[in-house]
Amino acid sequence: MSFLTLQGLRKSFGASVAVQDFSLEAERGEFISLLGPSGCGKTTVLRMIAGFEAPSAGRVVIDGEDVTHLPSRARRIGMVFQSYALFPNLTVEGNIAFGLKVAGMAKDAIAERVKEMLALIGLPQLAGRFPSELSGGQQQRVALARAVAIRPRILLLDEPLSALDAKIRVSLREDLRAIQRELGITAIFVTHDQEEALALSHRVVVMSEGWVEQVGTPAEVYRTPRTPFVATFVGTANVLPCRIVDAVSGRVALGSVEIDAAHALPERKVGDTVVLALRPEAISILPFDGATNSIAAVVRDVTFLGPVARLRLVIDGDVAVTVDLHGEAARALPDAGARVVLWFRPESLQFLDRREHNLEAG
Amino acid sequence: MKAGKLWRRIVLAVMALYVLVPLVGVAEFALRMRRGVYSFDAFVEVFGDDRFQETFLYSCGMALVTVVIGVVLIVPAAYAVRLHAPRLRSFVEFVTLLPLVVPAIVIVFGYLRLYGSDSFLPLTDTDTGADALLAFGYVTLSLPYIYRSVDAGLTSMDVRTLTEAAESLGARPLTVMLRVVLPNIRTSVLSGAFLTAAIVLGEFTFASLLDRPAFGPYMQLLGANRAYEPAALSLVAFALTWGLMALIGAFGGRRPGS
Amino acid sequence: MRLPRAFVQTVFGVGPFALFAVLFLVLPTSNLLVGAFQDGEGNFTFANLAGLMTPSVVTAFRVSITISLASAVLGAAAGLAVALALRGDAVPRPIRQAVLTLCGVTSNFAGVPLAFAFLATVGRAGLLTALLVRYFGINIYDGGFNLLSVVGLTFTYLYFQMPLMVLVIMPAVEGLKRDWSEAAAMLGASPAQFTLRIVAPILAPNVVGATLLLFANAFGAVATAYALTGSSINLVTILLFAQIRGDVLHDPGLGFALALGMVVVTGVCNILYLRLRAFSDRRLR
Repeated sequence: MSFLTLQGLRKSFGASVAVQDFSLEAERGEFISLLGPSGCGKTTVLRMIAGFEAPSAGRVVIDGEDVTHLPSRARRIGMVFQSYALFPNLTVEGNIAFGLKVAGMAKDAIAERVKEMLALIGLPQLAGRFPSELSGGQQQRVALARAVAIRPRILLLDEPLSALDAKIRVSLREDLRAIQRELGITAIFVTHDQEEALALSHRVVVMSEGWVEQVGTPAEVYRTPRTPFVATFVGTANVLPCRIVDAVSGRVALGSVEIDAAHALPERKVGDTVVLALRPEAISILPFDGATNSIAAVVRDVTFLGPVARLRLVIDGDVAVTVDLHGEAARALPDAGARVVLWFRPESLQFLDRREHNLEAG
Repeated sequence: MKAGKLWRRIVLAVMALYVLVPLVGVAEFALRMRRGVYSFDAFVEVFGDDRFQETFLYSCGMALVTVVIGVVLIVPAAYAVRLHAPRLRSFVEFVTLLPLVVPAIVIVFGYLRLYGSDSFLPLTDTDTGADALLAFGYVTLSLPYIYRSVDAGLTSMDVRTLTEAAESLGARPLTVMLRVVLPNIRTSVLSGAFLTAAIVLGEFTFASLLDRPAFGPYMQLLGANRAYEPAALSLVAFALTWGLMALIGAFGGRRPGS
Repeated sequence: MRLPRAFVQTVFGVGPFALFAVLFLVLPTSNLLVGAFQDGEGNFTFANLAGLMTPSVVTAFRVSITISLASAVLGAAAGLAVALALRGDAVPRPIRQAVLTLCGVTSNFAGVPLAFAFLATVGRAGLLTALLVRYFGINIYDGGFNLLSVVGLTFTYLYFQMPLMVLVIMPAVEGLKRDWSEAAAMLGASPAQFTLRIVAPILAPNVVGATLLLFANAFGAVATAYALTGSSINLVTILLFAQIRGDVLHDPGLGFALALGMVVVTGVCNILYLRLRAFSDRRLR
């Protein structure tokens, strides 16, 4: 029995539907990210869990208790906001103690818990400061301490790192991960930043336009994207529409070039169109022609990015392909206009579904 | 949720009643001039009165002069402190807030003593002098409003970059002021101007104590001597204020270039 | 020698403004304040200030302060309620806009026309007075109400004080973030607890500051009271008005003392107001 169950959640505002049939089961202590561009419905899902939006359909069940119609304040959930949302009239201490005070906890127990929380976020010396006297990173740490001080059943994180500077974002991200693992609290994290989602989560839910595109571990979502959206939103990918030449051996044609995809495609017919994803770093540039899946290409432009050199090439006249070269391979770069040969392993190719919805998550 | 909506409605309804009932009352009163029937007689009387026309035009002229002097004084000052002397800015701000501290009746009392008949500069002895004094008084009264709107306009336009851009293209300071700064703060200046006009048009204390033939003292005089005309006048004044505020709304919501 | 251009521009920009402020704001006011300490020959004296202690002047200050305080407190409470009612997007946009425009108009609808409106409505022959008698058998004048009294004047002032409060406090009310109420709810606080522990302390400095502003606004008002009551109500402004007009010229020094007293009262209000505003600006930065 899972700890948090979201069952067929749906939310419409007038005629527009923000979230379509969202289902998810989370284990106790699991860290799950909702990842997608703005407007994909991830924040609406979070707000339905929090109780700020009433679902148009579906249920929210926490630890066996159906909380769908419970007011926010009775749900025992902690939440961290993008804007920090610290109360400006209270000190750090007062903010962390707020939830304990309204719950009627005894004074010394509150003091004890506040001390414990300040130690947890590593800011014991700032207890008496007001939020306006803290940096953004410090404020967000205090907001996190305030949220977990009430020992919530679930921790909701609404883009908590988005308002911070790049450096602080990474260090706070690591602390957030450590604190979540230490407390063993179930966390739902909303973000539009794929790096954050991959770095923090046990599982990632990729969303687009109200639909769930894919649910999986960070590695699954990155290595085996199921849809063109996931392939291009999580990392960069070449999305190549191909025609099936031989469904049994898995040969497909990309324009006039035939390639070996190393997958049997029993349910497809010759001549069907399939969509393949190929990561830019999975492609090499060869000095010679001849091996399987080697394709002639013309270099359009080369961008040097430090650890990586990014090449944009054209094969067969009009199919654009991006290639990332690292390390030794990036030492001698071809010039724009050069004719080169591209090569990749057949197993690097991912067959993408046409968009399929109603994915069973979990 | 439901209870939250209900108290909002009650509060707004009570407020609307408080604001609207006196308007209904004065409207009904104004229409009662002819015995037994409602008529517009009071309005006809008011608009037909030569004194009404004279004083109203006088006050309109006063409002215009006030706005022009106010803008000419304040725009360069606000611009200069922003660009060259940020430390003077709190001083300028403080001065423009003073008219909210010192009551108008105290200021005009000061004028009468400083610029009265037996002073070193007896402005009140001639009509022109007294008119000028009234205009200066009104400029003083409107300092807080004009400064605030000009300052808001300058805040929204990135004064420094635009000035440097204009100067790099060869513009002289006066050109920058007239062709870059003023057009960019036009809407803010206009909203300050309309607010000033709303205050000046019906102003009573200054005009009365400086003995000027303005609209405010005229309304007061009419109120002391007539029954129905003042009610009509009150409605006219309300409509006038409404019109000026609507103009602020119309101009304030629009930024140049959008 | 060529002066730096920035200096020249500052002098040309601020100079006329500063000169104007000195001639038509600073000198006239300070002249009165100095005058308050001079006798007819220009010698230093406290005699004028002593004049402030005569019973009629003391009463005038008391009545002025009573009306100003009552209209400020009531206006602030009502205006705050309206601002809170308009907060967020609970009220449809056109209604909200209409209410705010109405506030803009009525906060500037003071003086002579306002006096007429109240006379026509709740004066002895006013519409509301008559309607109450006809339909409810209540004569408010028998019940002790009098428009030309402290209570009547307070309610008349309320007509511009309340909308002024709405306009002054609206930015602070809009500054209350939705995230705060949501964070409080997530922490288990009821709406009442949120209001008491978070909203009230955050708004308090603004509300007190705005109330002081309203007080100063009512304290300096002349036209409404004069048009409503003539010289029959004993307010400081009316007294000073009469003094300047020459209606009561038995003590020329008293005018200066009255002016000084008024500036002291409004000055204290405004200093407190600025202090409170700076405090809340700093905290909510």
